[in-house]
Amino acid sequence: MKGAGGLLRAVFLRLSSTGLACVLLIVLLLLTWRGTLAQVDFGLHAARERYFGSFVFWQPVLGVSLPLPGAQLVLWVLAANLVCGGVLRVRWSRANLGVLIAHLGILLLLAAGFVEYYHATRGVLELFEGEEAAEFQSQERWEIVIGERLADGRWREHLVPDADFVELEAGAEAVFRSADLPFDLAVTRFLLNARPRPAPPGDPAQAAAIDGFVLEELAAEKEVEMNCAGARVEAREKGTGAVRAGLLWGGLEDRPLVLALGGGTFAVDLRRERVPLGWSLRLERFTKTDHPGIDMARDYRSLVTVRDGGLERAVEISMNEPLRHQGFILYQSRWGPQSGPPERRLYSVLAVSRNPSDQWPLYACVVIALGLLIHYARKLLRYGLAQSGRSA
Amino acid sequence: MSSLPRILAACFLALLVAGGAAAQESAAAARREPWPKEVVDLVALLAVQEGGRVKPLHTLASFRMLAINGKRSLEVALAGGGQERLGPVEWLLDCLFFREQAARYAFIVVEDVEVLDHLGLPHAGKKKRDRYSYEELQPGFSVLMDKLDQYLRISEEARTPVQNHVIRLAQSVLQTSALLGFMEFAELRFRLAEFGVLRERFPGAESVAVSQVLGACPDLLEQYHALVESGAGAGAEARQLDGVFAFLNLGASRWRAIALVPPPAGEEVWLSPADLAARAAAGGADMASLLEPLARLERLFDLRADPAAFAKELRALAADLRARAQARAEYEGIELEVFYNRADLFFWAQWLFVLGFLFAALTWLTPRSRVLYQAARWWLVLPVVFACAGIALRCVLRGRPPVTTLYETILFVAACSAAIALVIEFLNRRRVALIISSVVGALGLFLAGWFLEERAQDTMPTLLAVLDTNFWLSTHVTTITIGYAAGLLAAALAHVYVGGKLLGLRRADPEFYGAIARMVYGSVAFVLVFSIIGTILGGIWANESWGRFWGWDPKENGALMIVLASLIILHARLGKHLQDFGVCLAAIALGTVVAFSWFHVNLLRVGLHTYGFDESLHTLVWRFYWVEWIVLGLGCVAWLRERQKAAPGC
Repeated sequence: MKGAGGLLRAVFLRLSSTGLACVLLIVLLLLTWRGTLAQVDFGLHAARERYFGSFVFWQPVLGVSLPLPGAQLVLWVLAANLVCGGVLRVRWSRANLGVLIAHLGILLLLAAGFVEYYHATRGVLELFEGEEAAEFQSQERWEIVIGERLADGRWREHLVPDADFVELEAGAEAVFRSADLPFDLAVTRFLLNARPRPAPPGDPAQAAAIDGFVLEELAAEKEVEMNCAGARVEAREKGTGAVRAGLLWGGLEDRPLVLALGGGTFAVDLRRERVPLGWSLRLERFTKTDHPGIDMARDYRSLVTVRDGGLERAVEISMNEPLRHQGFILYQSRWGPQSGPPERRLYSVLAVSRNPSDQWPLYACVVIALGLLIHYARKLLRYGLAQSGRSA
Repeated sequence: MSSLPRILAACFLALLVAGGAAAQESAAAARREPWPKEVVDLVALLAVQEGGRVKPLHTLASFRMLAINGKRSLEVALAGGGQERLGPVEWLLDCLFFREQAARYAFIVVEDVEVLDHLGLPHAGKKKRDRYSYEELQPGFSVLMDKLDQYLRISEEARTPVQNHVIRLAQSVLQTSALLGFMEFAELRFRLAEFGVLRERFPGAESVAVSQVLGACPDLLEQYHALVESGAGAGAEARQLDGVFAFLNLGASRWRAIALVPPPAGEEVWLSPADLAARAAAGGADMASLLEPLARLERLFDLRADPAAFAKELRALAADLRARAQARAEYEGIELEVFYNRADLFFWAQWLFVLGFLFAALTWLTPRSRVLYQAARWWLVLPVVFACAGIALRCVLRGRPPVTTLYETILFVAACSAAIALVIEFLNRRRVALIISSVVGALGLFLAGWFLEERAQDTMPTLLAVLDTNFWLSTHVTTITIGYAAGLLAAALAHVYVGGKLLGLRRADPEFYGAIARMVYGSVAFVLVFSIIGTILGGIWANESWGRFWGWDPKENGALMIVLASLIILHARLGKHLQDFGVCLAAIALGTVVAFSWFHVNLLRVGLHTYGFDESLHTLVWRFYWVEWIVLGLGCVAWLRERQKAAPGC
């Protein structure tokens, strides 16, 4: 027991040491620096995923690929170090009051970051004046939707979420099964950025062509929202085993794959993931004002009506003045189309996010500021007194 | 873009000849006396609109001259003999009213003679970087515009330095051309012998000025429509009227350089003579009042050889324009801005810092002189006050907190770091922070001056919509910039420590080095407080504007790196992993992190804080890194040697 206690104590001492804190901070500094420069070559999204969103990433060093700690791992260990060293191990005294408060503030900030990373949802909502929406669209995630035409003429949607197929490896397939559907849908290939192209006879890709077309894989765009995903799917009819293959593409000119199977009509489509708001938003008016004489926006804002159940309220969303409703935050992001004649009809682009830790950084900032002010004001006072004593 | 100015100029000249509009004799085209002070002051105080804001003509002239000439003064030979030093307003006046003379002034900077080889122009006897007159460059304009067109198609990062110089020269030439051509309307007359159709409107006149024709435009348009409707659209009268309107519209492309006429109520965009011509030619209503300033400018041009009459007419024009601007509440700040421009407080502060440095150096040579020490301390308060006054004036003029642009960050960092150093000096009286205050203040303001000349753009530009928030500008931006200032101050103080160790100064005085290390520690703590609060505030602002607290954007990362670097230093000191020498070396590294965050991330061309690539700034940042890395390398050697000596057994 004593040995186990000693081991635990040794682990605690290591985990709470300033030495470990320094090493972690240095690694985080280097990661931040590398991840910043990597954005020039790979774009923000790819660099963020590689350096800041990973626990471990592989980095080629002198021709050898080495596993290096990603920011996720470093931040989790740093949080443990902060709890052990900065809160538990540090002496709880008046002299350390400021440090303790500051450390608690940083823990709150880290918690905000973790909650945001794992639980936040983001997307955009594009509306012309007069349009209303009850869902927004993700910029990074995709989904496959199977539309089923019901007897009364309405459509029912069956969704295949992004997580089911987005990391599909070559040769593997993801099969979506539903008791409500007369077929299983297998995703046999998914490409994050692709474009369909004709594959005429003689083309090496002709063997994989469907209706004379194949999906050509493209390098991922630096701006993640510029990617246009593509997928190869097979609808396998239950009972008969008949297979109908098709290509899906998330581009604007996309047409859904229409299937007539099991006596029903179905439309299969690949689209950016849609997230329901649970309430709706109607754009009443969008105004954009330029600085006089130059083509630079001074102000742009959207007057919207929020409809939630029987309630209706008018809200103006502008830069730095978002709308908060039912856990969603809607920000005035930009407008479109960006070019064209001055009298063109503009649409408003609202960024939407749902972040349970939305206001935590603000609280953390107050706590950290308070802690640091207490700590350094005390130190400065002591320094000043010492200096005046020296000169006296 | 390349061919447009040439085509327009050619069409304009063709119309000038074919249409019968002719330039007056240019006998008075040489100025023989210096511009009277009153004239210069009146012109300086004229309000104009440019870049989305109303500013004094003095500001416009200053930055135009800086962009084209590379500095804000010009030595020229007077027509009557002797030399004259022209300021921005005098230069602008010559460009507008004595354009033949101004076209012979050598004020267009060519950064590299190789550019002239590209254009096939001679440059014998000229330096590698030299100034040329518009007249000297004129034979190469056609090639220059072709090259401009060609090089603008090349991506910014792929361009060679010479291609960039060609683009800059082309822009200078186009700007000069716009200024030299601005007052052409005042020189032109419609001769009624050729434009018989105007005779009915101006009975008895031989020729009429542009403003008169513009005033008659509604009637002329009506007459033209009547002719077309009656089937006489192809007749001589209709053709002449067609020519008048075409001429005015083409002129509208030439007289655009300065928008100095406030628009009617309800409109925001100020009007240049070109806009007035276009508006009148389109049959705009209520033109009479708007055309008054144009008519005054024409009279002013006619009176340019008579200084007294010129000044009188200018007084009337200035009073008229001022009253119009005041009626729109857009004249506020014009006089103050001219005062700010002329006072040049940062220039004075910079040299007061230099003198302060000499004072501080003297206190090191005469350590027993309390009088000299006191004088040096209080002397250095002066430039800090000057710099703070300059920043305060900018705040008043812009109605904004102190930091809204990259240029303002430099001013603020210089003033703050010098002020913090002075506070440290007043606390500990070791003369180290005294000398560092003068050094960081002077270097910062020299950097600001260099940056201003390199960019040659208005330093009070209109802001992007996202920046239009005084709350976040005054909290996040100000706080984070104070963090930069403290970081650079810590690095500067650390240089004294490392430099002293390297040079073996005061070896027997460990207390001296301990005091510097404490100052460095205090400054790093200051960095942490302001950087961490500033960074989190930035995140909160980003959450309010873009919907996310943290996006790993380069600028955010840069701020985080400063926080991390200061945390590393403080924790390493706390855990005794670093002693005084190590802390000072780490503080020098912190200085490079500050430079990375402050400037380098803006040059990466990615993220939400990209201000465009600037080759000379990029070079400067890299030079700074190299110098600091060399100091760090030498410092590390000295540190290791000291540790070896201190090790037991040595």
